[in-house]
Amino acid sequence: MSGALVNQLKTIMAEELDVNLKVEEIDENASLFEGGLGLDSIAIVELISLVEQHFNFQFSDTELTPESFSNLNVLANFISAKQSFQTREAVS
Amino acid sequence: MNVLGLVTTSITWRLNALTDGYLSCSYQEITEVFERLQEHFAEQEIGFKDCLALECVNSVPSALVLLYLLEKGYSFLLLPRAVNTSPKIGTMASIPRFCRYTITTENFAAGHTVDLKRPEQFLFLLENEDWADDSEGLNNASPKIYLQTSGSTGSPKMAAHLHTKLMGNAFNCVERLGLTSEDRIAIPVPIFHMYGLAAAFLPGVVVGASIDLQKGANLLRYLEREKEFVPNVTFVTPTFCQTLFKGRKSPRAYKLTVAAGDRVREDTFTKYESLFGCLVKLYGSTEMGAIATSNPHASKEVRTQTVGTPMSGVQMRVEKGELEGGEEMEGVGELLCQHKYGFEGYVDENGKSLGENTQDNWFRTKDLGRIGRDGCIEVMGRCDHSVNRNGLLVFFADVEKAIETIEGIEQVVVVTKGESQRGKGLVAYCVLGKDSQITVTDIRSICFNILPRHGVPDSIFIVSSLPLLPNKKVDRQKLVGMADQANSSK
Repeated sequence: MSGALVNQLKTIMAEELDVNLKVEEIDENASLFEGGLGLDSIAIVELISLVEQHFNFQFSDTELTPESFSNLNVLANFISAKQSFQTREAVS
Repeated sequence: MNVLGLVTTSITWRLNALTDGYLSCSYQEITEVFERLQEHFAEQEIGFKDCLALECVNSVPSALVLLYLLEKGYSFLLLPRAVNTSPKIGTMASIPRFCRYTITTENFAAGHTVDLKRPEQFLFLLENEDWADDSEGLNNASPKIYLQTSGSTGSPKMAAHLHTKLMGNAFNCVERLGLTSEDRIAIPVPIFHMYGLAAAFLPGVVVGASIDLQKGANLLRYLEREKEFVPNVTFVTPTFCQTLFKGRKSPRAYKLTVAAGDRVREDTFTKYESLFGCLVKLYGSTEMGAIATSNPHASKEVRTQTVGTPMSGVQMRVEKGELEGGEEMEGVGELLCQHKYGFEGYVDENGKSLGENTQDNWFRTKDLGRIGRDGCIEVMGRCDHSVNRNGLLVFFADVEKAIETIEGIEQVVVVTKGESQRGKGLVAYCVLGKDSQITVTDIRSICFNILPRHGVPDSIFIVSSLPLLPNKKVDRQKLVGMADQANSSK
């Protein structure tokens, strides 16, 4: 599940985020910040908004932490957990 | 010079602390840290006659060394830490010859323990191999701090400030912004720049406030630090204002936010205030320090439209010169400044004086503006960011402001390129908002309704982002070059 999510996130980053990265250049284990994929403050805000748009949920302020965005694997796991929580809520 | 808690308002200020998220040091402990630093400097035979270079980051070790150098009266240059440089190696290549030693401090990450009372654990000294003491006593006649100017062209030069005047600048900010020892100040802007240093950090220190130094601040790190530190005052750039209101999800009341460095869009200002409380704009420069800022109690209109009245000891006047372009521009011209706490002049890399960029003791800010009847200053942009068209002066900032009101447009930068039928050519670069489908033809046709004819750009380009200079300001020279390459719609 999160493998597919990771790929989807890579495509979003390569195609919609203005960071000049190709899908094959994006390592899901690399930090999104300095020393990794090098997203700056503006790119991070853009990424947050793209994730919300594509996966149809809103982050809360408490969920916006450097840990949740430490790399694409972690972010994909977070999105996956968020989606299953939403599904459970919808069922109940 | 004693710099700690000079004008504090509370008897318990000594318990307040400087923090950076990893390390923390109370004002009470600082005195002891200073004693250890003094011993360490003596062991290393660092004398007062030697000018030093401090590679500074927003961290507690850097801040403590900076305060120590001010307290003991060393002359020193403040430098940013070069990217990916080990503190033990430093960046000797870029150290001016008049600095004998470079001081770097270790960056500590979570889980790392360090004893701030043992300077050998966090401080590194490197001798400058190219050092040449031919400064003719300029550096050490009285203690000075040197700051690199953020100029985008030419060779870098350094602005020399007397310690006493730098502190005068800090006191001005305390007074105008109403800072107290009860404040908890977040500083996500670099303290090696005049803004972070003289408007945020030193004012916080002299009142004995709690201070959170943030390095490499982005939205996520800021929110994390905010949760832990719970600031009530923050010093930001206009871009970071925008990041905060775009990225965070819920309102949070600050006592005060100070923004400096560039223009704050009017809609950003209004949105920001509705979510986070009082915002004031601060106007200043590396050479003059803080020139003006609004009183936080001033009306919203004054705070939105102006940078407030000049600080204590500052006189401003407008030099109209050749810039006057008709009735609509009444009172507009280059802003000139006399500052009691301004700089001593520029020096080159040998420490030799380069003069002051002044005329009859008035410093030329190269900014265009006007002074209202109430004494409040309206800054309109850089002097070289205007052109004459149809015999009328067009400010790029006015055109940018107008185009930014068009829905779907996020950011606009106007430059001049070549000639057009109306005089100097006007070119606008627009960054669109998310999902915006607006075309250059649409934008231009709206321009005809919202701008006087001479203000309508000759060419408009839609770009995905704007090129930036290392100091994060838009690289206008690059945009001028881009005008040749891109396709335009006229």
